[in-house]
Amino acid sequence: MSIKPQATKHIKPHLANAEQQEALGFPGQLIDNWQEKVIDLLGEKVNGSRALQVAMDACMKCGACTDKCHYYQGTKDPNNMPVARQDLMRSVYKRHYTFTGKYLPWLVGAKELDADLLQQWYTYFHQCSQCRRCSVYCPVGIDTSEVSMAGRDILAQVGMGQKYANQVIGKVALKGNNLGLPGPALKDTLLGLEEDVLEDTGVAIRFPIDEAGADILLVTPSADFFAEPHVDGLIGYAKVLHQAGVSWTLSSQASEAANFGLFVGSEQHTREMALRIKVAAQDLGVKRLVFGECGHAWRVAQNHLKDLVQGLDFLDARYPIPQHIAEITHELWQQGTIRLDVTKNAQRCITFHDSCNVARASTLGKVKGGQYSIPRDLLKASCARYVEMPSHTTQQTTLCCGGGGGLLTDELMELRIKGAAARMNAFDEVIKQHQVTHMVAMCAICKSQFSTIFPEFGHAFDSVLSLHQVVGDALDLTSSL
Amino acid sequence: MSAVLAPLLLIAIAVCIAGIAYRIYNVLQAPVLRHIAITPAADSRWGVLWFMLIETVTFRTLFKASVPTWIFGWLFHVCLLLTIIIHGRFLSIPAPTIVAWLMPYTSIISYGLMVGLIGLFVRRLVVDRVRYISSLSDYMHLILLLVIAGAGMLLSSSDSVNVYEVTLFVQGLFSTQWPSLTQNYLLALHVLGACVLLCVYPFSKLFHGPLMWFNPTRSQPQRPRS
Repeated sequence: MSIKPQATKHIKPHLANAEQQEALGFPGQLIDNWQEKVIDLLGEKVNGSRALQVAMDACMKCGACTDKCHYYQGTKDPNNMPVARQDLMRSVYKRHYTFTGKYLPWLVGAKELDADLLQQWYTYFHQCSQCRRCSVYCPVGIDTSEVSMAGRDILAQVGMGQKYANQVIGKVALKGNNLGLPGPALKDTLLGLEEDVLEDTGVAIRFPIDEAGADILLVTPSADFFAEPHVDGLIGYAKVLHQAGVSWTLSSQASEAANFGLFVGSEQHTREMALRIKVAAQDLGVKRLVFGECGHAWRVAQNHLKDLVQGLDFLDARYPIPQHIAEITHELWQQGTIRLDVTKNAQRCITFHDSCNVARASTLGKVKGGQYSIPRDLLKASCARYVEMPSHTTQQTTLCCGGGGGLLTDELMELRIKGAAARMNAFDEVIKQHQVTHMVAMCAICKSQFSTIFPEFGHAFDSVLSLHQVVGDALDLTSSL
Repeated sequence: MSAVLAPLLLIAIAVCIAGIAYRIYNVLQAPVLRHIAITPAADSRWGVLWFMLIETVTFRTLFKASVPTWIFGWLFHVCLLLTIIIHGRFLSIPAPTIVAWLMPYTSIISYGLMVGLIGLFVRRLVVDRVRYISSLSDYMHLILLLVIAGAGMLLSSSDSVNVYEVTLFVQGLFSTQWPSLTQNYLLALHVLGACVLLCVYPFSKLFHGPLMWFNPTRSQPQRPRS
C-alpha cells in the first residue's frame, strides 16, 4: 500500500506541434522566457480566480484526499495524490507570491520553477481527469480540477500544449465536431441509421439533420454518430423523440457537444465552442436546446453556457435552457407518453456507472440528486435486473472511468488502465455477486474508455452500454398513445 | 515582565486582526469565474449557509474521508475552542458565567487538546502519504501549539500563577499603564507562543477555516435553471 515515488513520471501526453499550437493562438514551441512567463501567468490566474486562490492558500495538508484519486489508487505515484498534484503549483506560488515562501522557502516547501518542475507540471497536470472526486473529500472543498485546468492553460501559453486536446479543439472550429466528420459524411451515416432501425424494428424512425424549424436542436457528442456503444444511444434518443412525436434535428455545424476548452482551462476556446452551438440554434430557428449523453458537455451547458454565451432568450422559456435528453425521456416516461417494457432487456443484468461531470458538477431534473435518480429510474423501468456497485464508488463519490479530462488518448493507455482499476474492482464485485452482464454509462468518454480498456480486465469490449440504448431497447414502439 | 509581554501581545493582536482583514479582502477581490458548486448542493443561499454551519461544527467531510484524522482533528478544534473560552476567566473576577460553568472541566479539555495535537503529529509522521506532503512548517505549527498548550497545562495545574494578578494584567492591557506581573518563565513562554500563533494564523494554512467559507465549490448554491 505504500507510495511509489515517480511510478508514473514516464507517462505524459504528446506535446502539440507548432501547427497545432499556433492554430489556437499559442506559441509554437517552448518560449525562451518561459520561467518568467509562467510565474506571471500564475499570479494573474490566482488573483483572477477565487477558487484557485483558495486552493493555493487553504490547504492544511490534512491528507484526507491522499488516497481518493483513482490514479493514485492505481499507480501509487505520490504526485497523483490530489494535494501533491496541487503542490506542484502551490510550491511555485508560495515561492513568488507569499511572504514566507519568498524569505523562508525551506520552511514552507516553496520551490523555484526549474525545467524539471515544469516537466512535472506537464506530466502530472495531465494525469488528472478533472473528475473532482477529491473535492468531495476535501474538508475545505479544494477542487484539483481548477488547479490542473489553470496549469494546462499556463503550459499552453508558454508553448507546451497537449496534442490531443489541441487537435480536437482545432477540428471543432474547422468541421464542427471532435472527429472532424464533414457534414455530408454525417448525413450519410444518419441515412444508414434510418435504414438499420427500420430493418430492426419495422418502424420508420427519422434522424433529421439541419432541418430548420424543428422544435429541438439535439447536440450530442460526435462519437454518437459512429462509435459503439455510443451510436446505440443515439438510436435510443431518436426512438424516444419519435415515440413522443416531438420535432427535432441535429446540426452539422454543432455536431459536437463536447467542449475540450474546459479541459485545457481556456476561457476563450470554451466560449468559442459554446458560441457555435448558439449560432446553430439560431440559424435553425429551434425553440429548445437539448444535450445528448456527454458528461462534461452537460457540465458546460448547464453551469457555464449562460455565462459564456449571452442572449439565449430566443429559446422557449417554458422549458429549461438547456435540457438533457435523460430529463426529457424521464419526464415522458413519468407522464406515460412513452412506455418501457422490462422484458425486452430480460437477457441483461445491468449496473450503472455515474459519470463524474454529471454526478458532481451538474444536476438533472428538478429533484435534488436527480442526476442519480433519473438514470436509475429509467434503467429500472427498462431492465428487471438492476444492481448497484459499492456505495463508495457511486453517486457523489463515483470513480472516474480513467479517461476523462482530455486523457482519452492512446499514449496515455498505461495510465488509463491503471486509473480504471478501482472502477473495475467495483464492477468485478457485482459481476461475482449478481452475475451482472453490462455496465451502463451516460458519457461518451466513459463509454469510449470502458470499451477500450474492458478487454484488459477480462471483459468484452461491448459490456458497456449507453443509457439510451437500454431505454431504446425497452421502448414500446408499437403502441399508439 | 509585563513591560515585555504587554507590547508584544498588543502587536500580535494588531497583526492578527489586520492580517485577517487583509486575507478576507484579498480573497473577496478575486472574482468567482464560474459555477463550480460540488453537486448535489443546496439550491438557495440559506441552504448553503446551513450546510456550511454543519460542516464548520462537525467536520462532516473529513469524517467521510478519514475517521482517524477526524477524531484527532475534531477533538483538537473543539478543545481549542473551549480552552479559549475558559481563558475568559482572566477578563473578570468572578469569571463570566459560561466560563465558570466550563472551568471544572479545564483539565479534561486540556488533555483532549493534547491528545488531538499528538494524534495529528503522529499521523503526519507515520502515514507515508501524509509524510510525503508535509513540509517543516506543517510540523512546526503542531509543535507551536503543543508548546503553548503544554505550558498552559503546567501553569493551570500549578500554583505558580496568581489568577488575580493575570486578570488585572489582561484588564489593563489596553491602558497606558500595564499592571505588573510576577516573573514566571512558564507564563512568558505561554504568552510568547500565543503571540507567535496570532501572527502566524492569518498568513499560514491555519487560516483554512475562514477560507473554506469563501470557496466557490462550497459557497455557491447549485445552479438553478429557468
